[in-house]
Amino acid sequence: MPGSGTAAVAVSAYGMPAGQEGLVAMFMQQARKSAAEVRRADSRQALENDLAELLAWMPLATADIQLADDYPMLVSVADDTDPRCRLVRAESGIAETGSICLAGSRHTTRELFLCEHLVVLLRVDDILYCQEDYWRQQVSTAPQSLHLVSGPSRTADVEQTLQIGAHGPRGMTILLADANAASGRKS
Amino acid sequence: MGESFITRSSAALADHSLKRALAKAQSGFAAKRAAAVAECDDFAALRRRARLARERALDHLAEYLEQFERQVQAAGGTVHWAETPADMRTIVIDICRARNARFITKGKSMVSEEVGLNQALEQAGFTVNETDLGEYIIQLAGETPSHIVAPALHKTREQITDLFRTHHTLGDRPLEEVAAIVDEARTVIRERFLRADVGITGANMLIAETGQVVLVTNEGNGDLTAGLPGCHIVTASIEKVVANREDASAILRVLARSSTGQHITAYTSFFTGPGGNAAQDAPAFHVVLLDNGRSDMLAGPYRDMLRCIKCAACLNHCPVYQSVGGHAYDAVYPGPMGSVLTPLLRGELRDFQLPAATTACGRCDEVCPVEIPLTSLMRQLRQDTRTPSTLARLTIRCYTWLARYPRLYRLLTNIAMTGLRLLAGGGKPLSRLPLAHAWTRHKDLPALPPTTFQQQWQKRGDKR
Repeated sequence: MPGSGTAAVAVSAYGMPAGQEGLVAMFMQQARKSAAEVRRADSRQALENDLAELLAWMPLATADIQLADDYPMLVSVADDTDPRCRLVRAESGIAETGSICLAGSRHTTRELFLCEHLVVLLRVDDILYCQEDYWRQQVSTAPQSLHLVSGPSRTADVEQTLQIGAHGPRGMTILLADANAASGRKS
Repeated sequence: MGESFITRSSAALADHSLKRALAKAQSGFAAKRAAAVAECDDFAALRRRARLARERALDHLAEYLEQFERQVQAAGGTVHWAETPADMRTIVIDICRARNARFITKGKSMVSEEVGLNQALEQAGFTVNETDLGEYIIQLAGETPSHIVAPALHKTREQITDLFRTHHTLGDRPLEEVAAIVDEARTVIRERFLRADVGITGANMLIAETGQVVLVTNEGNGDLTAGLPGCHIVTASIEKVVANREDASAILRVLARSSTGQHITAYTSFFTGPGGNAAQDAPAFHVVLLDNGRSDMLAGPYRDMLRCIKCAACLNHCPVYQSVGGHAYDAVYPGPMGSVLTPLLRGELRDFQLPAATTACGRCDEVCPVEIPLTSLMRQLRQDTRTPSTLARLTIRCYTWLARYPRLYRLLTNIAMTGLRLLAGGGKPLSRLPLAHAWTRHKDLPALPPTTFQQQWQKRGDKR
């Protein structure tokens, strides 16, 4: 499409917010609308605390969950068969819909869909405005699977009553890591 | 099930459980959609953009389908072409046999309903388990979907509890709350996900540029069906193709809002062939594409109908659907979109009653996210396929003549008014009326006022 940059802006559901902080605010609002919990960690310490608390479900020592110095590389996780809690790192976030983006690998379905609670780590800098921005970043051939996840699983198939927790996770927490929390600097 | 829409809908209107189930759904869907639409900066612009994406797809359908096939092949998957429902059944059964499959899980696919896939697979000896909660419920009940997004919309909670008590080993566990019902299904179906040899899902879109199949769900069952077994089969119809990811995004913006009133569904997933991941045992990938009359539709006067993205907004806002439910249509696709699609796709004699099952109120036109002129298409179908009875034609001709002579018109309506008032015994409602039994069998004609509308209007005019 000619001038797709401006075309994408023109057809989004909401106008583009100002600055990265505007995108973060929109992302948080939209993700919460989809019943995701969103936390923001502004320091390395806060991030580690949040992770320890959220992953306390897992039969792991906190020591098993480490952030490499150049986080986003996340060093986890001893036992990947425990279905209670799963930690994944999102490639990108989409502010317009409050979704996290994850290209699939062999374990993706198990990681994203078979756990009781999904914890997603997302760097604030990786939040984009809309899906079109994400498509522009994906230059190589399409991955075998690609998932835009917006909140925990749900159904309204019984009398149109919304029930969170259908076949997939019953809960989802998105941990937003600020640049200084992600860089590994202790602050 | 009765032979005609009229007998089936009469039975539906007398069904109190159905009435309760429909009443619950009706207000919910419409209110949620209205809120989701109102919260957008400019929903009309989103709609125009989505329509553009669908029109582009139909304008280049053959080209995009070929491109889609090439891209799927490049990613190590296979596209199969099914001209008829029988073709699709055979292709899917052959794939399952070639994999020595026994257990099959299924995500929701209206196309699989269209071709009667479950029955064919079961007859071929496979165990088929629906995994979408609504589809699972109706599979237990041995029924068909009554709604294209919420297949078990016609079931009350009590009926679902009874079904589970009959089919599951429950013991004394309570199963009255919605949460308990959902949990029970989760536990039973989870085991089936893990055991399945083949997973079959539908598709919301096929992206030509990238060879990706888009699947939109809330429960996560589609992804578990697609991702866990060693083989993923997608059943879809040919018009689901779109040019590129940008067009897909444009459609996603209106799809969930129009359907369930969400700004996006919980899961929007894009699948393609195993590609370089084949060594890491990514699932084999087959896409089976059904024509079943759609190529003919593309060339004919009902082409606009192929823009449909199956959101069900027209069902959710239709006074006819809301009164009689989906089963009265005796068709895979009910409601306004089904009243157009069914005669064109299936074309059995009884299907041609469906375009008449409309009040022509136009709400479906207003809420359609890709601006399909459903009311006009239904009217056109009626004109094309129904010859009005001699009596109806005579009546219309008399009226046309009469309406040209105001004095005579007034005189005759005054006489009719007086006659009807006499018949009713003054200001009482009429419970019987000559030539209008179809009306008075179900309701009384309200008491007539002493003067006609024209007389009252004249009086108002005098006062001014």
